[in-house]
Amino acid sequence: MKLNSISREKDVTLLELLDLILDKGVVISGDIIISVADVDLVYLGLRVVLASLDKLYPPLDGEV
Amino acid sequence: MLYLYGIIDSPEPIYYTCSGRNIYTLAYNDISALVSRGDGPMTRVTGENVIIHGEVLNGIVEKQALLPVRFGTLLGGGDVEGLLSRNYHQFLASLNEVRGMVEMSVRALWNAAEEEEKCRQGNDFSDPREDLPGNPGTLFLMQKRRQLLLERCLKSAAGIPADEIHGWLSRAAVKHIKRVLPSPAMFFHGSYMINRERAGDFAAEFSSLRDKFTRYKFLLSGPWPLYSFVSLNCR
Repeated sequence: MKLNSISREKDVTLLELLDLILDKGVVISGDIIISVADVDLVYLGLRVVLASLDKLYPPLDGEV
Repeated sequence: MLYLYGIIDSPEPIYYTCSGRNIYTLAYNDISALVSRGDGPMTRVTGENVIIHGEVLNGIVEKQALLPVRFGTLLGGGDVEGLLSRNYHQFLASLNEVRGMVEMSVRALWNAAEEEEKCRQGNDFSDPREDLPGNPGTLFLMQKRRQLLLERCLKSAAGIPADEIHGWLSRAAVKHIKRVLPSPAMFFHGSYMINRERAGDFAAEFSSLRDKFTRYKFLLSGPWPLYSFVSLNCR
């Protein structure tokens, strides 16, 4: 099989996978209120249950 | 934080590695959540993250009944048991339904420009009111009307071969979903829930179909976990 055929086949597989896993499957939804010191800052109707942002996106080296 | 890949029908601990991620299970009664340590960057829609998500599920689907979870689902560590207990009966019923089943996907492409031209030649989309002096708003609505009529014509044209193709393939399926003209170049997309052991038979049916409809291009993919046939919304 030629390399460009292999590459195209991988692209097609990736596109098919994208269509399946981004748009379909079990959905876990939650209503989240992010609050600090009993003050509700943000209300989010989300597909995920979150922690604080620094736990989600730990700082890169040197980044504050 | 935990990244959730799916729900499986086994309480036994499972552990494997996949593309650098340590995959394991957290059990509740006779079902388990398939998870790994998670963080925000894992939910970014990159080729690497998408492929890893797929590979994790491919690593388990042949051994266990699996409810695949949508990409990018994170949970707090303490939330897994609550999730499984709140949705236990729903998960159990769905796992029983999907046990031994896989999903096959078939897409068919046509020459969109050619089909559009056929529609234009075969139909008069004009309106006598277009010849009247009109304001920009009226002209805009007339153009929208033409577009709508063209889309309706294309949908109707796509429906005929789509129905025939889907009728052919759905004979081998337990459940099936047909989508007509999901995009201008793709006039048909079918998803089929079949018994895993019949995947070879399905591929043979597909080959016969492709030999019959030589003017179209087809794409067969699978077997996949049952993404299209698991329509649960859980809290």
